[in-house]
Amino acid sequence: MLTIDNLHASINGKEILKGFGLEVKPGEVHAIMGPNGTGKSTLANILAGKEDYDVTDGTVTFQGKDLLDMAPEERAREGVFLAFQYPVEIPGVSIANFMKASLNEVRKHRDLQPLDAVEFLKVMKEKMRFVEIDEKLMRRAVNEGFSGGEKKRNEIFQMAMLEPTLSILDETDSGLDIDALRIVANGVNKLKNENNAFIVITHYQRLLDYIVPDFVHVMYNGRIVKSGGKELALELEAKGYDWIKQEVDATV
Amino acid sequence: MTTLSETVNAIHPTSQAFYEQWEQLEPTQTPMGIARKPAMDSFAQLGIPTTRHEDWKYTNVAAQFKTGLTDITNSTSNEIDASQLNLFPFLKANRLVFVNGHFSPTLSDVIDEAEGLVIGSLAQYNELGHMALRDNYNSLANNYKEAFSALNTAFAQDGAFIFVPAKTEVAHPVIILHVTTEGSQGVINSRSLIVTGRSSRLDVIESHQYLGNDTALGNQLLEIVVGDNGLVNYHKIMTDANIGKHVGNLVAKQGNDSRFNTYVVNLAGQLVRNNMVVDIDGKNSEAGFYGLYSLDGVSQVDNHVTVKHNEPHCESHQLFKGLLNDKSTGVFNGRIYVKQDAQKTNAFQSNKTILLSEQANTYTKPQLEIFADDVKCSHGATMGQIDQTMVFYLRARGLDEAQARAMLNQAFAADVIEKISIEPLKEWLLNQLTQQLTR
Ligand SMILES: Nc1ncnc2c1ncn2[C@@H]1O[C@H](COP(=O)(O)OP(=O)(O)OP(=O)(O)O)[C@@H](O)[C@H]1O
Ligand SMILES: [Mg+2]
Repeated sequence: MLTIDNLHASINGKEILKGFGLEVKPGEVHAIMGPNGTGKSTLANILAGKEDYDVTDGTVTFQGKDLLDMAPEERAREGVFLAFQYPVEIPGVSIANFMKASLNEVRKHRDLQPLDAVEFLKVMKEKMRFVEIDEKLMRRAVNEGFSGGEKKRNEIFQMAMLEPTLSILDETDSGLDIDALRIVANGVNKLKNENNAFIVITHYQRLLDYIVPDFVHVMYNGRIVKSGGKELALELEAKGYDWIKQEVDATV
Repeated sequence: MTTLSETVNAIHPTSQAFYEQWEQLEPTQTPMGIARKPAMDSFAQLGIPTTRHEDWKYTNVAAQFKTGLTDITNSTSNEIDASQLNLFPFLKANRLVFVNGHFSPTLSDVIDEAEGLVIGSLAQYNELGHMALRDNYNSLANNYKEAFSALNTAFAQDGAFIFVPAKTEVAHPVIILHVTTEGSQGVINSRSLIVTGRSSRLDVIESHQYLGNDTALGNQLLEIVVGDNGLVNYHKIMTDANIGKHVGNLVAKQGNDSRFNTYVVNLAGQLVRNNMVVDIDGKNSEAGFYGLYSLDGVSQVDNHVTVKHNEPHCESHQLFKGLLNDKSTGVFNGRIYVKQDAQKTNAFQSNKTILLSEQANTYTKPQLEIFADDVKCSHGATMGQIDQTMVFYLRARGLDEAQARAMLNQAFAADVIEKISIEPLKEWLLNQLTQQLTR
């Protein structure tokens, strides 16, 4: 589904991704862990199409197409979804309005009829229950004045609405209490099927008790330096990253 | 010593005709008639302001008078077809329609009735000598300093007169529609007066429609007296693409425990100047000023607001938002004056502008003159472009760039319209705004 090969990217002349590679197949869940500032969000943003970065080398292929060649909205319509680490507040734009426009764009791309107001409301209510989000939030402006947890749940709600093929969750679990975490994880688990895939960026093994990954990757200094199964996350939780950094630095 | 006609001639070489037209107006002993001469003297002193005048720095109104003030009372009330007008059919309302400054009984329609309630033509009630008109006509207009007010008082022949007696709530809004026809000449002066009694309520919607591009300059003056414990919501709506040259003066005063809100929505305008001066002359009162100017082409809208806190325990809010595309220009000048005795005043002002084009211009000037010490006042102005991180967020959910921008612009501007309490009007304006932003 997704093949990232030897990706190099920089921002303001500073190289952040230094030969990143990853292969994701349908039905898989990949966890990416790693110290602060190693480029996890950079990777996520590049996959979503944020234009601030210069990709200097490498390729990203999504379902046979060159992902880097597409505008952000094309990627979204093709089924790439990024749950942002820091969702932006958008004053004056109600979630309902925004999601209606968004869902109908995605549907149009899939050759589906746009939903009318009534149909849309029905879908929205169903998905709101799904992420146990308060209906009152839907009439409010996107993320405006939301708590950290509400913002993250709103991201998962949007994911549930758009039913993406590839979802990238950038620290969606950070700062969530255990109930909110369970809701977010349940959301992912219910959406998960053999045709879609998830990349879950996290600092905490706790999330991976709920969303069981097929692979755990450690990212350090702009690339993956170690990969393993779910037990790698437990090891990282127990030992931290220093041993990995030492391993990497020794081989350089 | 120079004579009046010489002075006028000095301002405008071709304006002998202008002076002659004024002399032809009947100098009756009515409130309107009595006010003409001092106003004319004052206008002769003031002249049309040029951009050297601090208050007119960014709006070159004098350029509209290159051919002088020739035709000033000539534009007649041509018969026009109601189908040419936006009569706000979605609103159940009272309607007063003026064509080139003249009352049109056939296009007007008054539905609300109450003991003593007047919704009609100023000229008619001037002749009849209505008490509230005698007491209040020309009591607020600043003819001695403001040239267009003086010009208006000297020449105006008609406009709306609304009198709301004490304890009367006017059930439906009053729409005052000023129509300027194609080929109308010079300046059309229209004059309105609204007087509301104690504990009354009134919603007014004033709309300006220009039927064509070649039209006179509309010079409109409205005086509003808000009674104790009363509520007046005033809306000024200028949305249609033909909106031409317009100078509007709104002067109001408020009594005790009163509320007065002004909503000014401009979605077009070749050259529009909105002056608003409100004196809060009673305790425990509130004044709100909400403005939106969403412009494209070479439109120019200049809002000047002055709120005078003359009594303690009052509150005022000013929120003006500009969304400026193409080569349009938006000006906001907001003055807060707090008299020494007006303790416990809360006065807030905000002007926010988004520039959608590099060629658009915005000018903003807050003026705070505060002589009381126990007050809360704030003002702020922001201007900038649409936030790219917001655009990206929307695009990452499948909206293309144009859709994303339209949605963000709409949200920015809708904020002002949302404050309007007449639900169908609000919906209609939001819809007009969407149409403008997705054009
Ligand atoms: N606009 C920018 N200009 C310069 N450096 C930047 C810019 N944006 C990000 N960086 C740098 O890029 C590096 C990678 O940042 P990134 O946000 O991808 O890290 P991360 O792995 O997601 O970290 P965290 O775990 O804290 O979220 C950091 O060193 C960061 O300071
Ligand atoms: Mg990050």
